[in-house]
Amino acid sequence: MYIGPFYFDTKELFLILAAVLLGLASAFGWSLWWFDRRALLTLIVLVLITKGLLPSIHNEAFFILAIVAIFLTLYLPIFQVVIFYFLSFLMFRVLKVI
Amino acid sequence: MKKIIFIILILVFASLVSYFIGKTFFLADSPKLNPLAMQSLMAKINTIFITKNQIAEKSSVDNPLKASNSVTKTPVVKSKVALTNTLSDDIIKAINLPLKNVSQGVYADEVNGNQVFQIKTNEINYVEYTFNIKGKEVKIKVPKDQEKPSQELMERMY
Repeated sequence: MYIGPFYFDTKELFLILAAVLLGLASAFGWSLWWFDRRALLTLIVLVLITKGLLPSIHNEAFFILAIVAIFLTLYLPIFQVVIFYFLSFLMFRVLKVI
Repeated sequence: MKKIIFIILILVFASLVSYFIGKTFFLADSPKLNPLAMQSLMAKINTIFITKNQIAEKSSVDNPLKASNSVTKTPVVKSKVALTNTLSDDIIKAINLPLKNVSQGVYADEVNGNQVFQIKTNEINYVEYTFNIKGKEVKIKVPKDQEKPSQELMERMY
């Protein structure tokens, strides 16, 4: 789907939708079961930035990483999740997974 | 399928490394670098070796048949006692040392792999916040450079 000069696939649209929903949850104070809104929002910003660096063909590995990182926010402090995210991303690039 | 397994291995490895880095090189799950990171790392390595030695000694004491012929029971027990004494002396030494100021009100030092921390609460600048939780007024003190806790967090705590 084209929005202006940019092409978005379904996964990217859903990611943006999730980011918008989280933004709204933060703005209106909606609570999410178990998840910390600020941690999720921080992670979504990182995901959106790093997604911009990749072509769509690497979506699979990238979204597995995103889902695992979101899941880890339940158990680890956000700082460790951010380290995990960047480290995994770096390893994906170095080992040519993405 | 091979690719998925490879991805999972990378993620497991990255989670272990990030956990280790977060605990060793940074302070309290924040981006602040731990000034005693290298000492802390050495202490962890020392602890692993000491524990391994202790386990080896314990197994040779518990099961003398498995121990080599040249090692008798008595010297092993003696060395265990010596190790315990060394650790106690080090801890006593570390406690009596003047500690280094790491941050406001926090002091730390290390002697032969033993870390000593001291937090002087009266030296930390606090900001007092008042919350209304379930109709009750709750006052809490937060260190000046830290963020104000959210109402939601406070409600979860009380």
